[in-house]
Amino acid sequence: QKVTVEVLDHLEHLALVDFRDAEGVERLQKAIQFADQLHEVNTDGVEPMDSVLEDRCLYLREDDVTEGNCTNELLKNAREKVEEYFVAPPGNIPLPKLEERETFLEGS
Amino acid sequence: QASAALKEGHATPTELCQRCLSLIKSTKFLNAYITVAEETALKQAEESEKRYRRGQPLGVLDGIPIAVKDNFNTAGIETTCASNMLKGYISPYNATVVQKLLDQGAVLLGKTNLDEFAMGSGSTDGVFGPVRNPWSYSRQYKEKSAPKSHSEDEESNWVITGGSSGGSAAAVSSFTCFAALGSDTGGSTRNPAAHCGVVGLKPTYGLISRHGLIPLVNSMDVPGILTRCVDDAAVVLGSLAGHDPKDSTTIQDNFKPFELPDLTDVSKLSIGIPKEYHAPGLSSEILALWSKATDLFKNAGAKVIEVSLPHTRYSIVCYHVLCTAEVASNMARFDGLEYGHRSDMNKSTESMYAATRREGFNDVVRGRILSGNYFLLKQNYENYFIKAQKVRRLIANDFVKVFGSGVDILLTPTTLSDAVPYTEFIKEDNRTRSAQDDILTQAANMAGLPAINVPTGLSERGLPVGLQFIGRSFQEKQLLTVAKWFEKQVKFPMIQLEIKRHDHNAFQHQKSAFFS
Repeated sequence: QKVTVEVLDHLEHLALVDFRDAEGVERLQKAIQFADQLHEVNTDGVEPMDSVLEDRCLYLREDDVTEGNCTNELLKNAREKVEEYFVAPPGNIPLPKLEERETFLEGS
Repeated sequence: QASAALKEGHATPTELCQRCLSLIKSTKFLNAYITVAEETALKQAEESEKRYRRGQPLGVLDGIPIAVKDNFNTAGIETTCASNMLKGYISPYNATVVQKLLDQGAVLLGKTNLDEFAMGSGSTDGVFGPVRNPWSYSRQYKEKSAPKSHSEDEESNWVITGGSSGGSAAAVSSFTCFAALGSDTGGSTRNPAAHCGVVGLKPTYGLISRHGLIPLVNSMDVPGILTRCVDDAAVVLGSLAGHDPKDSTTIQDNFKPFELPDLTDVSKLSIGIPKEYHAPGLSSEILALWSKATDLFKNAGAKVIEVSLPHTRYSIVCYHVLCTAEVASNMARFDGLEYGHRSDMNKSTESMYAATRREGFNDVVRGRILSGNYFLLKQNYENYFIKAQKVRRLIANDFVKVFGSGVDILLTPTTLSDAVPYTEFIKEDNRTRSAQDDILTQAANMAGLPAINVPTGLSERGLPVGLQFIGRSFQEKQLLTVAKWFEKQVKFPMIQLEIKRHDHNAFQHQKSAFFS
């Protein structure tokens, strides 16, 4: 089963990363094929495992502020900022549709 | 030994630091280091020297030069993960493990090279180029290559370090530092350790803090330790292990640093040999070495039994799904807003994010993000992600059963073959290579168990081959004790590095004084 262009487009939206070329799409196809081997394993009655430490209690510390006040430090690494704000381009504008944006998928 | 020399005044921390820095310069062609923190290292060495003069060293690690893989945050020093996404990113804080080493007085020489974001098994896919295995320049390797004296051939003949902590492994192997930190998610510390002939320890998941280690797979990542001998690994482990309130996945049990006993009697040991680790593609050389090691234990009186870990071959598939899924999530933080690369595109937030990520990530990273997102789609979640988590439990249970049946330690090969030439390695893509190379190391990450590579012998091509010991959860002391005994038995040869330097003789002298 080949992955449809709709799904590929959907993935590009979700990941905000593009396939760039046929090789990228091929890579995904191979990855899926590889992962399909999992279905050979019988997992009836087996619970999914999130963490190897599942038998232990997660450490929770007291809800006290113990560090902070490092605004300047943190802002140093941002390229665009104004006073204590990180500046982003306007939000609420969806990524251009498949036909309108520069993506390899357009051709396929 | 270096520590003792410092204590007794045979050498000073600044001398040691300078020699390492100068060696780094003469081994620049290995490309093991991304950033060399010369100024700060010398300052740290000076501080250490003052402490020694006062007779108050902080501990065994005081004044000891170390290197750290470039996916650990280091305050004031660039941390790139070998990616364009983080070029120029100066960490505002130290990873807990880095802080702990610095608190012990260790001298941080620099950040080592890796595969981009630790994704890969060759240390060939970072933006700063591939790391070269120091053994490519050893007398042992040159003697075994077909007689060619052209430097051109030497240029194209060099072998990879393995990955993804190749820079760290190369740094330790070429004597530019005494210990290095790597990370291990699928074998990334043990694989390069095997190829570079050094000790590579993957601690139990939850023993050492991951705070400050830029995450790949949160449920499997651990900081790894690379050293020239097992005792050194125990020392470093002693200074790093223990609960960290900043990493809630570290266990709260009290950790007591330990010194390794000199085991003489192995008759009470039960060594398990998992038959599934006789994987397709395992070189006959390594098979023979594994067999010899088994005999070694048998002849010393240990109980050696064949065991089975039936789901071993699915470990790599399981890893593929879980890793890409967690990567898809972990890489989402790189959007150019708060740190790292930011694209000039500013039509909208989404298009800026997309452009930033398109410019910042290489093919390998992007490929994994896209695959991960595919497995996490609603229509695929149950069939791939949850399924993989179930298989994970089966893999972990395999180990529980075996260790529960009285086996103390498992002995397996670490890699399928010795290091391949770079020109060979790049013929296959990253995912294929990772799938092939991680086969023997990955399951330990899946189950969270401690594992260690011990350099065992040289291949016919004159390159290092290592064997892996896998232990029970949190039983590092037992694991390292057995590893140390084994290390003593095999007497792995020292690398005879041949570097073209004016003061070649000076280098030899340094070598014998400090690195024997």
